[in-house]
Amino acid sequence: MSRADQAEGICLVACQAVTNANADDSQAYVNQVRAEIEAEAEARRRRDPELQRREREIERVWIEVAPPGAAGDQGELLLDRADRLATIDVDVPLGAKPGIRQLKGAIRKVAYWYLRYVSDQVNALNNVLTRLLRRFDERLSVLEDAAGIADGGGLLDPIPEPDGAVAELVASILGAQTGRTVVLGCGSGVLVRPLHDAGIAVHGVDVDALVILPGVRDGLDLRAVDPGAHLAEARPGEFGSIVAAGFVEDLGPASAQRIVEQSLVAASNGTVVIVTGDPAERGIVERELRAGRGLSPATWAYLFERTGAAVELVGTPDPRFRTLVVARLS
Amino acid sequence: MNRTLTFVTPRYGADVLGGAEQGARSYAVRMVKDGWTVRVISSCALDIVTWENHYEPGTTVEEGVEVTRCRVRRPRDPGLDALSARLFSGAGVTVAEAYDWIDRQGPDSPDLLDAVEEVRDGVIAPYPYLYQPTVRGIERARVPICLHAASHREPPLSLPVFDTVFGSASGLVHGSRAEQNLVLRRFPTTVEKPQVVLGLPIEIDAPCDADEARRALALGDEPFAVYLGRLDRGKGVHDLVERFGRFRERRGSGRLLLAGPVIERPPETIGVEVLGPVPAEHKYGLLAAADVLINPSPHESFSMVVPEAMLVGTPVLVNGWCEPMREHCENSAGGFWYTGIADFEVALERLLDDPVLRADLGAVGTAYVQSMFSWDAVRTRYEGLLGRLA
Repeated sequence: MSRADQAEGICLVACQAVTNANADDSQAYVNQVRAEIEAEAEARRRRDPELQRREREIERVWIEVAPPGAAGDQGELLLDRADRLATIDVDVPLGAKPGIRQLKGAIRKVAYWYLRYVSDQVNALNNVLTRLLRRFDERLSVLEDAAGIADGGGLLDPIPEPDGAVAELVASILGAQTGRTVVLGCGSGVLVRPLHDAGIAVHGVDVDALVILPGVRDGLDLRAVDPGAHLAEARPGEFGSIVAAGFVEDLGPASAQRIVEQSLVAASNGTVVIVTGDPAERGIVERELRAGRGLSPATWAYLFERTGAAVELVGTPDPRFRTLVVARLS
Repeated sequence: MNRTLTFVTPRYGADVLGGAEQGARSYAVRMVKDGWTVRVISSCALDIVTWENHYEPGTTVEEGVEVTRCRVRRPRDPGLDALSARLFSGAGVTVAEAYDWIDRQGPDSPDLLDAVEEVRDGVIAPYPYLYQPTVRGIERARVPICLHAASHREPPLSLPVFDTVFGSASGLVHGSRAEQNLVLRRFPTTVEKPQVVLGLPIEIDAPCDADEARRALALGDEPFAVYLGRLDRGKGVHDLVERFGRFRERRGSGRLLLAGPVIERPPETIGVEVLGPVPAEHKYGLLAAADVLINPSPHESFSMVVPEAMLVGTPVLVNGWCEPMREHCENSAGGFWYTGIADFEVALERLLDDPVLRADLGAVGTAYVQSMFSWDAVRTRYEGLLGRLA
């Protein structure tokens, strides 16, 4: 077989496969496999503390050798924006006389020098903060272990997901809403499914890569991301509606208030639905082990009403989640 | 436009191994076929460690390219490692110390620099940024410079001499978006220079017969993962062998072949076989026969072998700390990356155990390389940049 034939053969195979599978389908399939790999890797880390320790060591080594600002999109975004703000184009006709042109060039060089200085400082600060946070986290874990208050430590079962009737109810509430919907604390995607099936642009986030796996396999857009961080990093008005479930039952009053404030930014003029059980109805074990965490629907309603939102409490047939909090922001 | 291009490289030749040198040759040969006048100025060295003079000095024509090789004045300084340890320990480095490091690293060839100064037409393309021919050659060049930096995260990039090198270039060629970002961060003023993310032309230019490669290299019928490149600790090979050994111990099966010149032999590990250098005629066959190509290198500005494997339909698993390789995987969906131990093992398991997944990844990877790195695609981008410089 000649080289040309071989190359052509490979091309044909590739083209055929791409045609058959459809590029978008392939991308979705690969994304699904990536999610599965990450979930399985996370499960192995949980099972093997030595593996966790070695991975942290690898990460530490990389942080040591990476130059400031080497990782993370935020720094690049900052630089990109700063570049655009600071650029003085010497080729624009305005002030094109030789002297002015040279002056513009000099200003541009100074601006670049200054930008580099600022970005180096910001990156160095970020590096220091990251390391401090890591040490703080490690110290906190030690203290929690010593005090025996580490986040339940697997003593409690995960917060259950609402049943299909609640999910359908949420979908009917948000049916007329425009814009993207995010489900924070999506679990396996029970709340995402009916929204997805209704043709609404929706994705879910949950901190647990293992939990989302069934939904990912089912073709839902679920991401292993911390829900609080996802909301905090959202752009103003990014979402048409927000559904929060699961993780909200582990929030204290201050954290809940932060969720309310961030929702006002991320879904300005949108709708927020809180799906939560009532702490007053918890059994004795859960009440004691989850003490101080979780707010009742009535308290969530109060927090949203204080911001001027129109709040409605909607009953459901699910005994675990009797009342939904629906806040229409304005 | 003056269609004359002069590459300046530390080494040049069909038998020279090295991404940058192979990259330069890859462009040179193709540009000649497209009607460009292409010259190469290089040293007589073949070995990157000693810089010992291997080729005859003088000018020859190889594959239509006019190649001028110049003698190396002295071998690499044996004390370079100690000097490197001191310079890159984090203390400040003066410009004089940096130039001294460059000269000691080599190839130290005054004749080569004279030859660069004698170029009077077209564009000079130094490739890569790290060596004396580029650092000192750029200072003496009298025509526009198109720098193929091939830069990646490594300590020497912080040396102050490179502010002059990148600042003097008329235009820049990057292997990947990640490399461009790195250069912009390190040398912010380069943002005003004409530049392009080019990559390298990736085409099958030798036989690609998996069965023949299995026979000729005595690979047997068992499935295997392959690493293809220099067997060197700096390329992450030792790390890969350790990972794979652990993976195999847990799984009870698995086979990793290490193909390429042995610079530093990795420790004996069950399931890992060192093939050594592979004849060029079996390179693509070996890649096609493999179930997966693994590239553990932490420092690559492009990594030719990753798109080459994709082109022959083999999925890849790469070190995710190396941004350009991860970029290939993200852009193509033709492979996975790892940053830890657990994700390495899970991804490798999936790739070895799932032929349908391998076929899917292979297909999209092939399509990606054909659309991004066919010579037509690369030439269009490259000539656009050269047209602005010439």
